Amino acid sequence: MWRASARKGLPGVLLVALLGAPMAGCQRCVSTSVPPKTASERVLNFNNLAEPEYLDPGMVQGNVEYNLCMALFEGLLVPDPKTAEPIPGVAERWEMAKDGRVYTFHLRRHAQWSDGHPVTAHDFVYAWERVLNPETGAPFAYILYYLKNARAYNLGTMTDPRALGVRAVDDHTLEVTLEHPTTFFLKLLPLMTYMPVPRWAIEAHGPLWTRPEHIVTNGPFALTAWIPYKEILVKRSPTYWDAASVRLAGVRFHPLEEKETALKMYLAGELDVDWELPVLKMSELRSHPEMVEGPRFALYFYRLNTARPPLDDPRVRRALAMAIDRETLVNQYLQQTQIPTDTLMPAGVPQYRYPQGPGFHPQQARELLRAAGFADPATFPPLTIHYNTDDRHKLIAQVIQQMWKTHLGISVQLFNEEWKSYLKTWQTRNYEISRAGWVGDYVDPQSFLDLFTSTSTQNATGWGNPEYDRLVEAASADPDQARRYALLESAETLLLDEMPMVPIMTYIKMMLVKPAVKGIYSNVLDLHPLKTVSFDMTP
Amino acid sequence: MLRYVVQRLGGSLLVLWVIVTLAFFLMRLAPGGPFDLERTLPLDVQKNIAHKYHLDEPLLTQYLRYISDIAMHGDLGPSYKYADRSVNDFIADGLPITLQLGTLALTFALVFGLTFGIVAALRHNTAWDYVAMGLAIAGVSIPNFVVGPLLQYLFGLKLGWVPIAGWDTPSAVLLPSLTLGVVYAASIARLARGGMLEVLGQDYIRTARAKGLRERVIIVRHMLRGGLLPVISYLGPAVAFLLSGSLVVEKIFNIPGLGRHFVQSALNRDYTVTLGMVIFFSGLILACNLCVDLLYLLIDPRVREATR
Amino acid sequence: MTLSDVSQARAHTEETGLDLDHTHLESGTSLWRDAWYRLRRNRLAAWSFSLVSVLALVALLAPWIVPYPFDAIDFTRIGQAPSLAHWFGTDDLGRDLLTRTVHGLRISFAVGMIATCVSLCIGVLWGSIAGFVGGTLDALMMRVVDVMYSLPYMFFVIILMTIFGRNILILFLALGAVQWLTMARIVRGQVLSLRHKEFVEGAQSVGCTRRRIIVRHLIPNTLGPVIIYTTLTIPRIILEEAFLSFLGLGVQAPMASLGSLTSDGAQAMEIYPWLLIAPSLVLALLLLSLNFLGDGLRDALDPRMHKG
Repeated sequence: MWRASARKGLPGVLLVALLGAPMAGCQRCVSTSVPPKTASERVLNFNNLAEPEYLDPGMVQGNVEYNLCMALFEGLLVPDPKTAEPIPGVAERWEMAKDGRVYTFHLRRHAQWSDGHPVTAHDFVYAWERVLNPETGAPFAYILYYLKNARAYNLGTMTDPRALGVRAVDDHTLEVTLEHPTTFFLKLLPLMTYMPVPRWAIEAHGPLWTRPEHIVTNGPFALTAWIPYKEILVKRSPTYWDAASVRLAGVRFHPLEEKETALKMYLAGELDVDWELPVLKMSELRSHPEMVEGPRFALYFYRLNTARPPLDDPRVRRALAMAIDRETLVNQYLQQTQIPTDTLMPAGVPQYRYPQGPGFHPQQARELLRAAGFADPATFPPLTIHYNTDDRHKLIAQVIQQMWKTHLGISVQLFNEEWKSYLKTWQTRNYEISRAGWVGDYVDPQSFLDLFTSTSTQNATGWGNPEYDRLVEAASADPDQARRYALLESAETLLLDEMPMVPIMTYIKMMLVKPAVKGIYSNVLDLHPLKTVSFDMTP
Repeated sequence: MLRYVVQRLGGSLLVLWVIVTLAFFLMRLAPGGPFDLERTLPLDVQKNIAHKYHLDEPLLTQYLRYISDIAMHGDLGPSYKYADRSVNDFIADGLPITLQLGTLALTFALVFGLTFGIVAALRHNTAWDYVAMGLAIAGVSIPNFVVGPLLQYLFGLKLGWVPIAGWDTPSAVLLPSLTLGVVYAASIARLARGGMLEVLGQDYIRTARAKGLRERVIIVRHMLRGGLLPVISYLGPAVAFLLSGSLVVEKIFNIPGLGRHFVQSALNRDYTVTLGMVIFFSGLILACNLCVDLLYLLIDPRVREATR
Repeated sequence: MTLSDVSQARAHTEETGLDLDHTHLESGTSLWRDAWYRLRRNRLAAWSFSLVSVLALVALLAPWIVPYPFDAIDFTRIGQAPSLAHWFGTDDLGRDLLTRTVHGLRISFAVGMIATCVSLCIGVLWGSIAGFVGGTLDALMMRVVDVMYSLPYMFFVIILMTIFGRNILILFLALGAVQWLTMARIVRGQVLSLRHKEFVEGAQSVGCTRRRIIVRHLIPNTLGPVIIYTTLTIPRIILEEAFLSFLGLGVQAPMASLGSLTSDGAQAMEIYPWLLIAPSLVLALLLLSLNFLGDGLRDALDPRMHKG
């Protein structure tokens, strides 16, 4: 695999680099600085935050890659730009069998790849099989585990790909069989891992198939240039089935890691969309007329290691949760740039009845601590909050440290680590209190409640409750929405009672969008398909 | 002479090998690996990935594989984080940009540094000297993560003279080169001043003066030559550092150079990229030092004598 | 900032004068009294000396002289501009910036001093052993120094920080562990050249005791460059700590160093400019005076400059 990508030996590389140095810089000068004349010729300058790890939709996960993959590829369903709910993509229509386990998708007959191949059901079968094949080593294969036999095939206990729950009935009909009835299955389909990939291109070019010279795509845009760490340029794809509705000439994705730089570029007019803002500037920018903001289906919380005394006592855990004044934290220190939250479930799930959270009750918290044997807070062992390096995490940790000191009289240490060490620390449960965040992939309570089952690798708190596991398990296979939600509500109530984690707040997404740009909305999943975005040049 | 060069070259290769070996094993001691993600993967999936990249083999086997790939094919390996890129790709893409940035910054540093240094030395202990040295030391004292954003704010946003970030227009290269060059300019100024002052007191300068040579001739022919020796020996490593790029400048100005890989890949535990950067970088330092020593050999007859 | 490693270290070697053969005593006068006199006569150095002393005193007494606790947050006072109650203003958590700057000064000073001490201990020991014993051991020991010189320094520090976790003591050690290289070279050079100096042999021939030779001749002559180099190492380490803070690998919150305050301030420069101005001014002042003091000490302890 990696022999292929080492095209030139090092000496060759050095030679080319040295000789090419004076020329390489100037070739690119020309293209960017020509001002566009009309709206339909204009390229959208989008701050995409970072260099994507890869453009193969089956192999990546993360918003940076998702933005790109949504532009380049199209799944059976795509997210609605306003609501993020799934709407038809390559699939024109679909039926669900009565048992809730079998779906039949009818694909558009004129959907095309950028090289002229038609998009067929076989492309989906190939893509899903490839992701699940253990030899592919696709990190996010588990997102497909809802398909029949998918898990067993991915883990290697079953080797026949034909037993997988996906089948091409004919070129334009795809039949999907699930392991259990999964009510939110359609919400999963816009995810990258479910996108089709071109078999012939992958077989011809191996891992390099995503390079601009090889790539074959089926989305509204086609890859034109990819200059690592500088920009990725996509242009309107003429072969896209709905090319008429694509209004932008193209999109230039800028991998701007420094948020300060990105903001300055936006203010200077070099960016049309600044997708993430520096924490310190948020409250000031709030009143900016070009601000687009809204809550996300994402929670900021602290994990508690329930194996470490005194955190093995649920009373202590509840006391910690009750001694955080979320309103003050969010409204004063974060200047209302987030939403205080004391339940596991972030706001925004319709029909779900949110259980009662711990709230802010310092008196009650002190009593709980006393009941747990810490009448004198000085005897409380010194705990440490772990967080990864980031301005916001640092700020929140310092505020919570002070709140616990004020309301409970206990002192905790702060410990920040760079990303990989931080991951190792909580994943090996080598912590007492650890910052965490979770972003729902789809708007369903299950997206959050799955985290704390005793088998979940995301749990990492040492907490496990058979009753909780049973409730979540039962809910996941229940085709009846109301009954499912009732089960999940009891599960969350149980979790909040035992408190292996301390909910803190729900994220609010803030971005800046130039007034001429139409069609970018804030939605709970923070998904921004650019297909229908346009420039309105009228002043 | 030739023997000396060959000897030095062999020595440098040996040093490089020691460094690579040291870095290879040191890197593996850091907690976490390239495929540790926030969304933890099932154990079997982790195994699949480890197998694909030979990370499940004994460390020694991996080491031998790595070394032999470098020695036989000049292949520094794939990146673990960026699936379709190899370390060679990174160097091929980043080096030209870094070279341009480095050259510009160095030019800037030399022009300003030498001017300041020489003026300060010739006007020793006057206001000129104090101002020049004050500026020089201020240049070293302000971190470039402050200088960069300040310049961006002033010249990019407020005055709108140059783009805030990027590397594709001639005007875009000004701020980053300035930001990167300031520290070097300051160091060069101090060194040039120090070197010149040292020469000033030497007997041969006095002899030259006594002979009635014109001041300008003395300065150009005698003082500069002797006084610039420390600058030259500073330039060796300085060039190496300029050419290896700067994380801060590249990040702040979004320049696709090499510097960012160096720190970032270590933080990502992208082993091969980090090692590739270590090799590249150490090689550069060694090469630059070698050049400096050879340059000395040409300039200074005393050293030439010693190597015979 | 990346440059502050080898290149600057090298530069300083040149600045401090590795080639110290000329350093010898003019018989009869005390080197120290002489140096002290010269230092006082150099106004800039004298001022720097007093400024460093004042800053050091402030840093030492930090916990007792600051008006507020350094970690007491208060949402009613977020982001206030400098006033009578808060001379330097308040930060984004409503903490008094004067207090935090003084504490930051303390930490930065501590990092600089302790890391320098580490480098001093290792460097002096390593260099003097190599110089005294000589032969194969000397060659071997200096080869190790060469290898470490070519090792990319930031990589080294980052890996150390990730392996040993984030601990301020490790930070000191890691920073110091790299700086000893130049020190070792200087000390070795000194020892080597002193061993065969006429004045040592002369002292022996007139029947001075070994003890007297060591105390009166060897130590003072080695100490000079060591002191100079030490004064110049402290500012460099403080600056490197600032770079680590920029990477988020510096001291742990709520503690702060001048570097981390400056780095935070750079983020906030448009909304709370005083968050950048106050700490970076103190940082620049500290580095400036340390550098001038170092320069002054060099002039004072190195008689060469004054013979001409």
